[in-house]
Amino acid sequence: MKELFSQENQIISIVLIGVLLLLLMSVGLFFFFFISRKKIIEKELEKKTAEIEHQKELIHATILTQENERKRIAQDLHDDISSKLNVIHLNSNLLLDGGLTAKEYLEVNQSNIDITNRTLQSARKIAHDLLPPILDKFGLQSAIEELVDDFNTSRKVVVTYQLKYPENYLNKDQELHLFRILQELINNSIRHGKAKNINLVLENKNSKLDLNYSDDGIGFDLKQAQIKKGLGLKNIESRVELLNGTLKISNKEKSGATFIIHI
Amino acid sequence: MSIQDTIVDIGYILLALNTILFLRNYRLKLTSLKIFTLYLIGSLILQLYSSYLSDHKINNLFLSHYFFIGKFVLLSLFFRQILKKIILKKIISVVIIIVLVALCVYYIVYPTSYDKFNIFEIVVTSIPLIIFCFVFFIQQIEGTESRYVFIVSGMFLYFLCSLLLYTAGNIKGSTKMLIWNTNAVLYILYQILIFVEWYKHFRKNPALT
Repeated sequence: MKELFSQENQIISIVLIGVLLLLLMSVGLFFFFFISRKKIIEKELEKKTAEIEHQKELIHATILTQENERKRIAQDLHDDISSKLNVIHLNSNLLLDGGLTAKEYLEVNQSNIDITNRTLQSARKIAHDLLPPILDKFGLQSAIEELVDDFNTSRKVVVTYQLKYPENYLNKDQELHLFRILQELINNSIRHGKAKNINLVLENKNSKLDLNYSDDGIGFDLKQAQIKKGLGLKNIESRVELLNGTLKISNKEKSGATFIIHI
Repeated sequence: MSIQDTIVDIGYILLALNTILFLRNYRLKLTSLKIFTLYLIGSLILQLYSSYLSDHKINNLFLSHYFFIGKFVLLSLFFRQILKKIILKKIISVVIIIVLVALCVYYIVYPTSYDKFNIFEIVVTSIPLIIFCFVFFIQQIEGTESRYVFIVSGMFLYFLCSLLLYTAGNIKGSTKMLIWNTNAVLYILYQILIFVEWYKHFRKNPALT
């Protein structure tokens, strides 16, 4: 009988040890659970913070671009319009004062007419730069053609292009975004990339719009460009985001840059 | 009063306290909470009744069947509410039915086991609940919401350990009481975790609708 008791006591102690082990295991499991959860939440938070940071950068870039644009317009107005109007003003006063010979009188008058003409041209050019009227009247394809032809006639660069843009695929605002992106890209290629040739393909593939842009310039260090927060690049990025598109930049240093935009 | 009685009484007092605290939140439109409160009320009533019977030297073991089956059904329904995936909800419904049918068949085949402490019953009602607890943890690991984490932690801990203790419940030995004392201590731990749950998640908004 005594033996039986001790045997059963043994079983009981085994059970108790088992319970202790289970207890330890459960506590370990809880720790594991809480720590993993904390880590997952931290990761999520980090991701969200990075996203917000990115948004902030974009907003910052947008504001800076806007300021720069204002500065440029102010400069254009000052250089091209005000200075010329000043001359007209002087000339008119001269005419008003009288005391000029008939030849001088004609010369001043002629100069006034010339300057007025040039001022008109300048005003038209500024307006055109701000918003190309062709975009509004004839759509994106014509606007891009005109833009490219302008660059080609300047002989700074040779742009070859192939455009198959289905009309009204994008709305007016979106077309303007795409147009601005192209403007920025070409400007960058010439100014920073020192490119001589640019190839541009815009086509409609699987009901998506693909813009493939490449140049043969010196390219750029993508990381460096992002660190410097090159305004142009940020601007392009934010416009692509507005178009709900994706931007892929492949960039071989010293052999040009390629931009692929998928909308 | 022996130490053992004191431990058991502390467990009862905590259970009563938790029942009252959760009852205060009964107006919350949260089915899972209502089911859990119902479980607490049921446990309290059965505990009180069983101690009444044991005080009058009447065999109270038959109550354990109501306790285990009731606990299984209510807590399975509780998990059915808090687990989000439809497939899991369906599985829980099926498990409830299978376990109940199995128990019915068991009692028809062995009607005499009604008067005993039934290990088969304990195993088939506890294991599914332990698994549901585990599934709940997997579900919660990615979420930010931590409601019911403490309750389910307590359940997992208590059910797992008590399953082993109950299976040894029919053993007769000089140290047998040690098993029941351990169980009572674990029960206190379980009740404390339920209290922590109330304190963390339901204390501030008892009348929230």
